[in-house]
Amino acid sequence: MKKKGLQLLQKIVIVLLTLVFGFSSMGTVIALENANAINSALGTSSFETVVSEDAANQDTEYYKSDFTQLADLVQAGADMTEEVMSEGAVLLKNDNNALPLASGQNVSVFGVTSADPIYGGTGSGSVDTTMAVNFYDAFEAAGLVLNPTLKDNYLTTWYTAPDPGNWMGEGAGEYDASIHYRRATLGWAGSGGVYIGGVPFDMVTAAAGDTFAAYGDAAIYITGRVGGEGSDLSMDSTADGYNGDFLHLTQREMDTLIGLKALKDQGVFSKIIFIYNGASMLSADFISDPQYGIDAALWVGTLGQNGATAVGKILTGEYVPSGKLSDTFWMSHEMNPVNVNYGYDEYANADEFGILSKQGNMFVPEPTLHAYTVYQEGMYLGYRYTETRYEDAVMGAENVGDYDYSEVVAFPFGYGLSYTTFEYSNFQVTKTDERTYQVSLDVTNTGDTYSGKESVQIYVSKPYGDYAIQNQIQVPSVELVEFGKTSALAPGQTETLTINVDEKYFASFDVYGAGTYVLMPGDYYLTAAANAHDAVNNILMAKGADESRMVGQGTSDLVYKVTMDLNTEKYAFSDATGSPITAMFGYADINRYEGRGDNSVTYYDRANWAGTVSLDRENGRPVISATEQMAQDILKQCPVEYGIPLPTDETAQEYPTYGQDAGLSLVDMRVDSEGNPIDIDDPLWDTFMDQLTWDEIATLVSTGYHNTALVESINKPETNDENGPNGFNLKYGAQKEGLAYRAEEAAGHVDSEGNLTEDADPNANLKTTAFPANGIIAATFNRDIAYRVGNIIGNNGIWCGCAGLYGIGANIHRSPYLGRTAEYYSECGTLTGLMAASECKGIEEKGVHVYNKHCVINDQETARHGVGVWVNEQALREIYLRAFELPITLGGAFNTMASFARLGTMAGPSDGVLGQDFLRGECGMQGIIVTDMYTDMNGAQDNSPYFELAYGVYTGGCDIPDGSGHEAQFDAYRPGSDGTGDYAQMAWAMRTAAKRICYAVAHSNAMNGIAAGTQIVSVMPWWHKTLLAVDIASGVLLAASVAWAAVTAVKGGKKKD
Amino acid sequence: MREMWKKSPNPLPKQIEEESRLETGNRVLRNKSYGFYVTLVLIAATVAVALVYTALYHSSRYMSWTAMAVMLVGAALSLVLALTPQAKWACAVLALANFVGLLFYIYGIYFYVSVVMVGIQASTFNWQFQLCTVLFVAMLVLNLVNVFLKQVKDKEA
Repeated sequence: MKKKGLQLLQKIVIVLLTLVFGFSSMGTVIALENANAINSALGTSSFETVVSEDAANQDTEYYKSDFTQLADLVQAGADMTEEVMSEGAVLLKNDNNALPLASGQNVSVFGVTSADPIYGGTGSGSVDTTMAVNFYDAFEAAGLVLNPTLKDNYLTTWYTAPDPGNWMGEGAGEYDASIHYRRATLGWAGSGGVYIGGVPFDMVTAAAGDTFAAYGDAAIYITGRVGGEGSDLSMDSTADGYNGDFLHLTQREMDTLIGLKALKDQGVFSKIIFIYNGASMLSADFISDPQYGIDAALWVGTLGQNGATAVGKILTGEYVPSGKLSDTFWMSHEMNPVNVNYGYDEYANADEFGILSKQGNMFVPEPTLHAYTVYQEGMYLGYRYTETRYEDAVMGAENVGDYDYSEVVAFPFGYGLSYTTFEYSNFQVTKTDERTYQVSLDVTNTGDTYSGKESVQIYVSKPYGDYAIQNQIQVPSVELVEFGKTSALAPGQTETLTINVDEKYFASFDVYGAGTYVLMPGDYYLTAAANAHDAVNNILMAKGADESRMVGQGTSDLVYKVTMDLNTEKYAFSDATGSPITAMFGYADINRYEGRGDNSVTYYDRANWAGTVSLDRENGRPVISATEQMAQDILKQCPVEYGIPLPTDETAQEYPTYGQDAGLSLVDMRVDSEGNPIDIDDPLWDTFMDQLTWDEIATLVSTGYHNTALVESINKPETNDENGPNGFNLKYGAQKEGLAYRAEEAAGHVDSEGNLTEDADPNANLKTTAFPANGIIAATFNRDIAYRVGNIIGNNGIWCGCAGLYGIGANIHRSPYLGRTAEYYSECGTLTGLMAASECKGIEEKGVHVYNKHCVINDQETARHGVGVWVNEQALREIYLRAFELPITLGGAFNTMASFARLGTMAGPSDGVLGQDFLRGECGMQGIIVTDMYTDMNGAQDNSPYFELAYGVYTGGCDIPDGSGHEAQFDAYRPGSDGTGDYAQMAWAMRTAAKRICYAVAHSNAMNGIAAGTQIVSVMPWWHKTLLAVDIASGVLLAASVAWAAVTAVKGGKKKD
Repeated sequence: MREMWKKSPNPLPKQIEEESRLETGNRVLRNKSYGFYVTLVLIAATVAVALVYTALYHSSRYMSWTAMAVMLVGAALSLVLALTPQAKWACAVLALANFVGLLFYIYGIYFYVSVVMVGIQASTFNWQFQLCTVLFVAMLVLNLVNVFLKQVKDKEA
């Protein structure tokens, strides 16, 4: 019995130790494969810098923060968000000077959004709200006295929403409009339902009792709409939306406004102030509808950290609004023809050619390979449509069709009121050199009470003549080309604004004629205007239009006309690189794509508005069929998945040199002996790259999950990159490379496991500054503000230890139903590009490299994983790519993030034409192209695979994945033992990508603290040590147990004998 | 049976062959305890799980052919052992094979798990994953229990 008991004990011990040893060993293997991600999550590191004595005496803070104390940076960030909102909020309406209110006035604030403000978008564009100022506090701080009964009810009684469930919406509660009033997004991206919420007005009045009279100086009604990553806003299926439309006022909202109007008519309220808190524009016909009685309306976008403070001060006149709309406010989104083509269609015959028609995953059931959409509007997006068709209607052009501007546009692009008024005069244009038009004008504050700033916009009108028509060039009536902003002008004060306009913006991309940018022959008009509609009216006056047909007024005094001959040479070469600019995106235009088969699309044509523009959402979409070549072009981007191998080298080419040590560290590649940056084409880079082994290069191009990989042999540190488009979504003290962490470490506030102790500065546990919607930044029309926003983000990067920002967002507000409007700037590629350029410049100056996203045409979330976008090259270049081009050429943007969407058949990171020929060849981008989340493209998710990393690196479409652990993809291209093989071309592509990664890191704040002589050495973080200890301990004990059991068994056998 | 054979004066060759098979079977099953029969069932179950796993994942990047091979080889080895005097080790070999198979299954599938759990796209574990995970874990548990079952009857004193 004793023997049996011992055997049982031994058996139990062996089984348990086997389990522990097995699981811990496998866990260690998996953990080490994902060390970068674990380090990133735990704030640990697998390397440390060993500083030599010489190096220790050098100044290695190559990128210095402007702040010596973290608290100062935190405050500066908060102040900056307030300043952005103070100049970005747009006053849409202000009848009878309803605003500003006087400090000390008693007001009643309505709307569930008043208690639940929208600070940012969702998903990667989400912002930290722990430090955010809410509306109530902001309004009270501005001196307003709020109706406490309403406030209490909105904050408690009506602050109810269903249980949101888990991130997949599982366990979400049932929405019941009779008890749930708060806005609700259930599950991730609303997978469990999206509700606008709202309190029935009779319930509001009942709860408020007789309090309105005491707080009747104004009724302030705040309405909000939130959106974000992964889910567009619904045009027709929002559960509690008006006819399902998320961007229309709900019935409750309309009832509330009607109720407030009735109370205003009774004299209970003096005025109604409407505030819209959302990045996507509402259908805005209600603002001017007399039944709602709105006296003043203000658009504030999403608030960011401290935007509400500025809103409060705008209400009381401490700030005078000067924002101008960065998007058109449509009367009704039914009138926006882009919405006809928004979303996706499916190639009906996709299966015939092997294009999978698998429907995404179960929560967001969308197709991948067989989805497409057509940007049928071409150049006529937003104001380029509304104002052009308006001009043609005024001028009596043929085929304008049924178009009444006042029924289409509520507030035009660039529009915004002030508490004062401005007058433009003394408009002059001088050509100062071969391509610069210097515009000057006097701006006078003609009001008598308030000082204010005025944004002046410069628009160009190009000739729409025979050349354009013959070559199918579409010509919007006006296009924004520049802008300037005055300082705060006192009443009666005049400032002369001087704005330089680059003539290159006069050029149009001529796909079918010259195949490059051309100056078309004819008359060009430059005008200074307060908004796009005024600009058209000015030009119409200069053209002698019938004023009685116009909506609004214009003046030819603000117009400059210049006549040009055809010039196909002047802008046919890149300013950045000198490379010829040629038509290269034919594959994105179904009318030019060589595999189009019988497909063709009619884009909007100014010559035939009535025949080309459709508002029919049911039947107005073009139909495209799949073709054999289309299938081949789609499937080849996954060589392994679909068995279409990469072509072997066409020409015999030698593999690069590997592992030839030259004693060069990455820090040696920053600057030469005279302190000049070492150019990326300098031969020294070849010597440097020869040092790397195949495996090191494979690791570099396979590792990019919010970082770049450590390479010990060249002393390249691991770097940290983080979201997002409205600022870093990271705590200051999160990364040990950050100044915040290092300061705490020096102060002894870091424990043995590397965590900040309780004694650490509490600011280190705050997340970095959260900025308002980029549309609000754009609405400032103030590049200095954008630059300073960028500088705060750059400083944040230094303090939180990030060398890369997964942002900024430079896609286009193609439709208001885009979920991620808060992340992007505008419907205008030029405004986006110019503002983003300034912001990028501010960020890059601090050694933080932007990864501007998502290049390109990631303008919708619906079917974003692989939707094929068909767009003509003129629109692609002049709107969508311009938003990425200008940040590179003007702002020094180093990197981009590729799009999930496909340009025609080409996935963003597959697209070598986009990456190599355009971003690098034309724009001169020198850094990295990272994929978007790689596992959403390679089939690891439930969607169909449509991109493999190796293909992207091969074509030059990308350099690095937003993922890690994909080195094995490159094994097939490894040279043989004799150094030769069939894929030298791939090897060179890998090396080039690795070189770009090294070059970007060498010129980033990741090099702070690293000098010549500094060594980057691998270390074992605590989690690695722990795993190893468990492995060894369990292994030793297991071996001992087995030995013990064996000895016992042998002894038992001998006894028997 | 033995008595019957003894009583038969002139057995036919076919009868001899049949009797021989029965004799072998008897020898294999002689002194075997209930755990041994569980082992036989688990050998079959292991093969079945390996086949189900292969059927579901053979075209997937998450397929671990090593896991499948380990399980099949382990099952075969276990079966061979079961037919020898060392039959008491069959359960241990089978349990070890199932455990190692599970480890390789985990190694093959972990990336999928991480994608579902932390990917930016809302997603959930598909039924193939859920089924295979349940089967692998169940096999491990059953095999561990089986290791503690009596495989061979104690020799009579």
